[in-house]
Order: sequence, then structure tokens, then C-alpha cells
Amino acid sequence: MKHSLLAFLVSIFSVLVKAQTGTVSGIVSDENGKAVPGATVMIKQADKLTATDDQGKYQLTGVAYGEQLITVISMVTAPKSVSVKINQPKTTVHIRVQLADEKELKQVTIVGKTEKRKIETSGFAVNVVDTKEAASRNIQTNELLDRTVGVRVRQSGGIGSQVEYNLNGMTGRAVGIFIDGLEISTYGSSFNLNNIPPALIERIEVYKGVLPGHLSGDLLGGAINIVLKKGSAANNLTASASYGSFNTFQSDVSANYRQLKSGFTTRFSGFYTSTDNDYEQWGRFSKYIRPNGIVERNFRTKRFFDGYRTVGGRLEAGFTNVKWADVFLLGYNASDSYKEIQHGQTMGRPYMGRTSETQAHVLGVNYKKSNLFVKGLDFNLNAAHSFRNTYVQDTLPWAYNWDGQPRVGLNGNPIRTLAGAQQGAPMMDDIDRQITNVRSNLSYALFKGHRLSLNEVFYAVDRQDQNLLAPLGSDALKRSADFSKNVISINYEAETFGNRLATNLFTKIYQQAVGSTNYRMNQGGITQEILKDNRVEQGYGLAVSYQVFPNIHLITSAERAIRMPDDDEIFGSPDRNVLSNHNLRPEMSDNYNVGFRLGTFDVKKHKLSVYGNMFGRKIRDRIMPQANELLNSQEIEETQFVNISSAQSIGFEGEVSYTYNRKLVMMVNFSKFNSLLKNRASKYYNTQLPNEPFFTINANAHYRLDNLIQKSSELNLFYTFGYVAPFKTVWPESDDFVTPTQYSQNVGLSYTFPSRKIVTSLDVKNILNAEIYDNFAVQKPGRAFYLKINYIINNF
Amino acid sequence: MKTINSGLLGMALFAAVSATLFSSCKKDGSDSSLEENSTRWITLSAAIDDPENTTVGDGDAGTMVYSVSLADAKNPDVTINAFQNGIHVKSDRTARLQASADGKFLYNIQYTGDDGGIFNKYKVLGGKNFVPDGPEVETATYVSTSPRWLKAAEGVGVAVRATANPVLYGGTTPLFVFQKRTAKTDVLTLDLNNPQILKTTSFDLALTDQEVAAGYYVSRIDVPVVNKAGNKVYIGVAVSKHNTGSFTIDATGQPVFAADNSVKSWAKTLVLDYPSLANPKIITSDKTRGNTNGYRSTMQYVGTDGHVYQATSGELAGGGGSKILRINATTNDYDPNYVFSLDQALGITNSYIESWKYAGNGVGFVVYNIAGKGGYIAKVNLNDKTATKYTLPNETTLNFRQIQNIAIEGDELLIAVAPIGQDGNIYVFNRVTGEMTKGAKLVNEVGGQYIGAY
Repeated sequence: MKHSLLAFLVSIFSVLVKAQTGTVSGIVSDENGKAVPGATVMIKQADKLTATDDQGKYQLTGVAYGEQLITVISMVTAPKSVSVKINQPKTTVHIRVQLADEKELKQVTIVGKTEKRKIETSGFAVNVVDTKEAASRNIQTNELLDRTVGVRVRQSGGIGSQVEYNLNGMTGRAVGIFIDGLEISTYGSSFNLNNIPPALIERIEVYKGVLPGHLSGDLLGGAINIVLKKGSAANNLTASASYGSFNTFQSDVSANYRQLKSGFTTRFSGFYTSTDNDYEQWGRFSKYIRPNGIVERNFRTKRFFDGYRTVGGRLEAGFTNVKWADVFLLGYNASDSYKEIQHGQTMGRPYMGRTSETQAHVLGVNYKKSNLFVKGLDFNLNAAHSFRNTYVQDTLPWAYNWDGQPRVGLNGNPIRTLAGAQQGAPMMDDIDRQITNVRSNLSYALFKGHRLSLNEVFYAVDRQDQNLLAPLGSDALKRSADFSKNVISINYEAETFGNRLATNLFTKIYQQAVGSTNYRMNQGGITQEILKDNRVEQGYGLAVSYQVFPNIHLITSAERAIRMPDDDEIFGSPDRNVLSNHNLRPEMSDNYNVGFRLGTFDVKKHKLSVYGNMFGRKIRDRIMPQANELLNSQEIEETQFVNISSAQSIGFEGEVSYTYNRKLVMMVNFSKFNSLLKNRASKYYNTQLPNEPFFTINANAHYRLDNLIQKSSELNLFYTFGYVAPFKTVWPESDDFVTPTQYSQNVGLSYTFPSRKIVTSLDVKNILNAEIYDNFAVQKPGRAFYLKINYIINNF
Repeated sequence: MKTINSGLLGMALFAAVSATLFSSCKKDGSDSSLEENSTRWITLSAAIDDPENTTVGDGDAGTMVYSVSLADAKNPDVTINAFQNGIHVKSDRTARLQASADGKFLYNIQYTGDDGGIFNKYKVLGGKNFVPDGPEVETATYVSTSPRWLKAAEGVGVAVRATANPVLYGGTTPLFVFQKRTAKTDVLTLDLNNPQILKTTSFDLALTDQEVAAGYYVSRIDVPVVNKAGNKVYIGVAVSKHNTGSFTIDATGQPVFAADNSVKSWAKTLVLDYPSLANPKIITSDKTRGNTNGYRSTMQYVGTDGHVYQATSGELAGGGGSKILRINATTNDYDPNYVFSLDQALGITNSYIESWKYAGNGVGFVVYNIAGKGGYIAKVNLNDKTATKYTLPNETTLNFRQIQNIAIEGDELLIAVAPIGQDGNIYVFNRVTGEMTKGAKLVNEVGGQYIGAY
């Protein structure tokens, strides 16, 4: 852990594997026999790289048989190379290095790319969020994302509340969320970014605009891919528990075991979160209403029905690095959540007794094999089948006031809500979904540096609805819809000019099949209407990265992306007053990115890296609901989805990070864009779309103090700052419809005990108790305190 | 508020300062230099087009208001631009504005949004000076965030809402049998002088057994007016109909009964006792098959003779067009012997009254379209059942769908006339001489629409 920074800068990345391969492992130690942690161990010609752990151990897998040169470099030792002959599946090589003096230290350069850096210089506009620091702290995955350049997480309240992601001005269905490359909807809302603790996440990749082939989907704005921790070589157990304001309790545990001999690997992880979310609010939309209707604004009160509870677990078992598979894992994932719903999109009217419960069981398989059948042919299959259940209950007929009491009318009696329940009509809706999601990838190395790959994504949903307030039994006739889509992409990746120019040319074929069966009764006679619709669209793109100097990369990409209309949008949904529109065309977006990455520059003890990106998105045939309020038939309050001419978003973002002496780390980023209306018939032509935050700044600082309280302990201090510029929420200029400027500041500290087994941390969020909002008019928590303890055992 | 570029401290300081300013100006927004005086202000309201919708001129992006003196409003040399010079009235979508008879106060209930259903009262002080007066009043709990409301008598607002309950049905899957549909109805009265809710009521509204069995139900109510005696409130009604023998089955297996737009119900009005809001009763006219709930503006007035005159709309094509019906002051029921047909009086077919104003002594001014097209104004005489049409520029392209109010001061009525997105004028009509003169010029903007004069 002493060289944690270095350790996470340099981690494993595996590329091509030659015919017969073996594993090389061992311990790196100095002339005194002391382990050297955080050293880089690499076989340059085989493109293999790893870092030593706290005990100085390393392991390189998939090393081709034959004579190999192993090189060790480290900030604290002199470089050393040893030649080894690999001719068996497991080779042990212990390497002894010499401690470096100051002069030598200066010459050390790190040549390997981390997974983070490798992805970030791949030609796509992508940011990789490291979860290592957050894992030991009281930080939600969503908070981590919200600090990422160009990402805005809009949450309506505290932990567990509804979340919307905005990537460079694109939002909603346009943004895809993936877990290990599979759509998050596969796992259901009980397993999402709200409740997956950072400790279970390896890294988060945020792609803006142009998507790589392996994340194929019908998306326009970009994607967030959560890469969960995989079974690694080291056996370990970690556990953490945190308690804080608003009776918030969070815990997670994960364990990892691999039997070296047989390759049997198993990994378990689980989490539990519960909170009352009863934080105080006092904003303009917190109002108390007297029996005669008179409104008291800025009413200081506590949220009274906003609790959240979730529990989940994931078990994987299989084999890794065996002859017949690099990875073969079977997985089972179960999760359950309960949420009290305090209000709708806005805070206007508080709810009491509206709850949602979700459950998901997901069975999955992951198979990965390099050099399948022939040399250079790699295959990867990731498939899941999930059983999801969502239950929403809302039956309480009384209107509530923000003081948590039922509203009282002029006569002193409680007031009933208009539609009979909190949000609308009383409901007990039970929805079962079965989702099949298969992602496969076949790639072939044509010759060195040139690779052709074929990706296929299949997604199908089968949905069963039940209204438990008016149950009809399983034999009842029901309208049913089935929906499946395929996205096939063909990628050609090339590394040329001495690996300095990386290009990725791709085309995607989008295919969608939607079928529905309707029953229509007319004067006693039944007709069955079966509708089938199949549509195919094509998109294409190019991503280019050019390494001008070893630490200067220019990155650019362009794509024509497609989003297919949803089944509800095409076939309508009578229960939601949506009319069908069979002529709905897919939505199309042209995405462009141009950017650069500079760094990391090392000058003495200073390290600096700079990132900048400009982007443009142009959307055509945007799918939107149309208002249909005809004068002659006012009673028809139905809407229809239509294609309309649309928006354009142009902006830029940047990030600067600076490190001093591996003790001080500072980062600041900003994102500013214009989402403009491009409807020439409107007076708002070329003006900013309302209700979208368009300028944000995030900054954070982290300082490490060694040996402060105890010898070989570590104290980390953190500070984060967030700024959101005010934005209007309606088209005209109006002071009443502006979300005000927001500043949020958090501080935290974590302390690692000398044994390195226990890390404890304290976080204070929103230290100034500022009035901060996320979704329009929904106030977020004020000052809050959280304490967390992490426990780690390695190599049991 | 502008963005700033200094350091963290600066930002924090700025936040503190702006927060203070923000909260303080909320408490006291009045400008001491403005005094109430005897000027008769004419307030113009203008709806902003929602650029995200395909319908141009829907007014869904909010409303601007601007007031000028009566003399300026009538002066053709004056130019008014409410979009540029006015102030945005609090409302996500088109505000539902009303005003006191003397034009001194403007009343607004916000339509949709987080503060939908919130009542605000403003003192009119000329130009863009509308000063909040009295407390805000919440009506959404009773009449939803998109209430239908009007000033039903001077100083009294009545807000209403009717929403059809789910269809009751019998039978077993899939042979469901239609039984009935009723409407949950809510009505409240508002004190406009001292803003607060005075009275509320809620009941299920059903039509006659025969009508119910045929699939008829009340789908909307609007345009309340208090009668001359001050003991009844009349509320306009829209009636819809299901085809009871035809339905589809939804995803949960429940039937969704089809709408039947081939027939229209006879015109009806909901009558409640006032101010108790008790004894709901439906009265039915056999003079026309149409709606009495209007769309955005007042459709019924207490006449000089004490009877209530009520315009209808939404008659089916060939149904004889809009009528003006009479509710008798003594029986509080439709006058079986009275009907005014705009079609007959003008010799046209399928007229559709979008708004009108009773100007006294049986004289009214009617704003209408013909078969859904154009925008026309006629002077009507309800006693001798005659009508005279005026000639307006751009008549065929005018659209009064969103019109909310016609101002009246002395013998003169003022109507804002401008095609969507184009400039127009205030037109001044003399109720005695019938003369029409051109008033101040109205400057429009893309998709914009002048929708009211108060």
C-alpha cells in the first residue's frame, strides 16, 4: 500500500496470447531481502505488464513459451532484467533488485500503460473513473460519477432516489448504462449505480458520444460501463461497514479465492444499505399549506417517507487461466430493494405510503478464450438471463402536507387526494420481466497490429403485467408485446507507425423486431390482432488516436449512431394514454469528438496531466411525445410519439490533474456546452434548452501523510468542491423558474492502520449546509457525517 | 446571475451574497416609486410558443403580461410589445389569468408544473409592474395542478375540476360488460379580495341512468358563473361517450372501452347552490347537442335581464354550429323557448364560438371560427337574434383558440387581434353604435399569440 499510487498506475493488461502459454510468478525483493511492493514487472516483447503487491509478489499470465526477458522497474530500485526460459505452465522466478540512489531515481520512466490510460488513449472520448480511493470511503458510486468531467448525475433526493444521467447534454434513453458490458436493465433496479458500492467496482468507463464496438447498442449520447472486480490471482477478503447521518447504514463484503493448481476460481460479493433519508429541507418548494389554502414557503421540515433498503449478492465460480479457457465463470446475482417514494419528479406534493419493491435473479456465464482453434482468434461470450419483478403500491387516499401530517380542509377533516391515491389512482402493480442479454465478441489478428472483430448483442424482453387490485387470474386474455433487438458491429482496429497511430473503424447494424398481440371485442365478437414489425438500420464511425510524443495523444472520433424507437412508442400503450405510431422512424445522431491528452509529465517530484475535448452532437428525427389537445375533441387526452426536428449540442470539457511527491493530488475539471434548439420556425432557434445544467466545475484535493500517528500508518485528507451554474427551467427568461447557483463542498479523511488490514474513514458532506438541488426544485441533503471501517485480509 | 471566474472564496462569497439578495427580494418586490392612481390600465396577455412542440402557437411555454393606459390601448399610433417589454407570469404553461372589472388587479392560477394550481394576485401598476398582493393560495389539492377557473362574480373565483372515474364493468374475461362511468367532481370558491379558499366540495357526478347505460359521462367542466340572485353557480359541462360494445384488452387483462365520437350529448350545465356548493344538479337543454365548457375563456354571463346567457361549442359538423342558450333567472333551468343560433343569424354553417362577451342590454360580441378555420368577430343582438359580422384583416388566418379575455370599459370593448407570429392591433368596439376602430399596434414574435385584454 505504500506505493499505492504507483500500484494503481501500473496494473495488468493482457493483449494477444501466442500458441502455448504459461504463468510466471515470483517475489521481487531488495538486497536486504525486503519485499519491493509497487514495482513494475514486465516482459516487453510479449506486451505483458504487472505490478508487485504488498508482499512483492507478481504474476504474469499467458506468457508464450520460449526465451523471455523479464524487466523490473521501480521508483525505489535500479532497473533489472533477467532472462528466463518458459517451457511449462507455471514458472517461478524470484528477482532481487538493488535499491536506487537519487540519481537513478530521476531516470525511471514508466513505459507501460495502465488499463485506465490504455482506454483513455484508444481514440474514443472516454474517461475512466478509478474506484480505488472511493472504495474505502463513504462515497456513492453516483457521487463518484458526478465528479467526472462531462457527467452530470441528477438525483431527486438522497440515497436510493431516482437518478438520471446527463452526458455532455444528452440524457434519458440516449445514454446507456452497462455492467460489464451488459445493459443494466438486465439486473433490474435493485442492482444499479445507486447501490453497487465502489468497493465492488474495478473501474467505470464513461464514453461520450462515440461508442466502441463492444458496447454496441442503439444509443446516441454515450455510455457508462461499470466493470466489476474480477476474480484475481490473489486470495483476499474485504469487508466494510459505514454509519452516518439520516440513520444511514451501508456495508459490503467481498471474497476472492483461486486454487493455483486447478485454476478453480470463486468470488463472492454482497452489500446491504439502509437509510431513513429523513434530511431537512427548507427551499422555496418546501411549502406548508393551511386549511384555507394559504401557502407558507421555505417551510423548514424533515422528509418523512423516504426510506430505502437494499441487499444484494453475487457469486461467481469457475476456472481461470486453464488450458481450455482463459476465463470460464458461472455467475448468480440476486438483489432486493424497497423504496419509500416521498414525491414525484418535483417536491410540490409529498407522498405517504407509496412504495416500490424490486427483486432480480440473474444467471450468467462468461467464457473467454484467446487463440481459439487457431492462433490470433479470440472469443468472448457474456450472457445473462434475468428474472425481474417490480411491485409498486400506492393505495393511501389522504393528501399530505410537508409537515408529515395529513392535509386538513376548512371543516377540519382530512382531505382525500383527487385520484384516490398519492400519485394517481390506487395501484398495486406487479410486473414480471424476463430478460435475455447475450454479448459475444470474436476477433482475429490479421497480422501484427491489425485486428478484425465482430460483436453481436442480443437483447430480448418478455413482460407480464398484473393489476393486483383487479386480479383476473392467469387465464385472462391480455395484450402482450414482445421485443427483441440485435446490434451487430464489425470493427477494424489497426496500430500503425510504430504503434503511434491507433485507428478503429466500425460499422453497426441495428435490427429490431417488435411484435404485439391485441384483442378487440366488438359487439360480443373477438378479433385477435397480431402486429409484427422488423426494422434494420445502419450506423458507422471512426476513432483515431495519434501519439505525437510519448506523453501527448491527439484523439478524435466520429459516428453516426441510431436509436430505435421503443415498443411503447411504436405500438402505443392504452393504459398510459399513448397512441400507436407505426411510422415512427429511428432517431439518428451524428457525434464528433476532438481532444487531446497531455501527460503524464514528470518534473522532479511534480506530475501533471491535462485532458481536453470538444464535442458536437447533432440529432435528427428526435422521438418525442406530441401534445394532442384538439379543440373539437377536448376529452381525448392522449399523446403520440412523433419524430421532430431537433437539437444540437456543442461544447468542451477539460481536466487538469497534478501530483506532488505522490503525497498531494489535485484535480479540477469543467464541462460547458450549449444544447441548442435547431427548429428554425421557433423564436428560440439557437437558444439553450431549458432544464439542463450546462456549466459545471468539480475540483478535489487529496493529501497523504505517512507515519503521522503510528509508524507506517497512513492518513489521507480529502476535499471536494462542486459548482453548477444556474439554469432556467422554462423557455422564457423568468426569475421564478431558475435553478440557482449551487456550490457543494465535502471533506473527508481516512486512516490506514500500520497492519494495513484496517482502514477507517470519516466524511463530512455539504460542510456549509448549502441549499443544493439536483433535479429541478428537489432539495438534496444538507450537512451530513459518515464513518466507515474497512477490513482487508490478503492471502488467507 | 452571471458566472464568475475567481477562486473558491469568491464563489462562496458570491453564493452568500446572492442568496441574501434572492431571499430579500422575494419578501419585498415592490417599488416604492410606483403608486396606485386612477389610471384604467388595460393588461394584455401574450402566450409564448413552446418550441419543443410541433404545434405552432400552442402557448405552452408560458405567458407574458404588459399593461398600458386605456387611452394608449385605443391609440393606433401606440406600439405595444408584451413579449419584449412585459413580465413573465409565473406558470409553466399558459397562465389562466383573470382581472378585476376595474383592471386594478390581475389574478393568476398557475397551470401545471411544481407550483401548478397556486393562485397569485397582482396589483396592476402599468408597464411591466405587477406587484404581488396578498398570500399565495394552493388549490391543486382540490382541483389539480391544471385547474379550470374563472372570476365567477366580482371578488369571487370559482375553480372546478371533473375527472372521469374508471369505467365500472361486469362480466368475466374476456366477455366484459360496460356498466357505468361517473366523474369525480371538485369545486371550490376563492376570495379574490382577501386571497383564501372559502368553500370546497367534492362529489361523484352521474348522468341519468339511461344516459349512463348508453355510455355517456361527464368528462370536463369549466366556466363557472354565479347567477344574479347570488344563490346558484352554473358550471359548463363537456359530455363524452363510450361505445359500450367495443373494447380492447390491456396488458393486465382489463378492458379499455372505445370512445364513440359519432354522437354528441344534449347541452348540459351543472348547477350548485351558492355559496354552500351543495345540491349538485344537472340541467339539460334540448336546443343543441354540444359542450358548454368552452376552452380558455368565459362562456356565460349574467344578462341585464337577470338571465344567464351561455354559449355552446363543439357541435358535430352539420349540428347547426354554436348556439347561445338561456338559463332562466327564476327557474334556474334552461329556458325551453330560447335559443340563439349564430349559424342562422349570420347565414353560415358550423360556426364555433371560441369566446364572447355580454356587453349589456342583450348585445354581445362573439369571437368565432367557421368549421375550425379562421377567426371572426360579430356583434350579436340576443333579443332580436340578429348578428353583424365585422371585417378584420387576415380573418382567414386568425386563430382565437387560446383567447382568454375581452376587456370592457364603459361602452367600449377591447379585443387583441393578431395572427399567430404576426403583428396585429387592439380593436375597439362600441356596444352602442357598433362602430369598430383600430387601437394600438401589437408587436408579435415567432409563434407568439396575444390571448387576452383585461
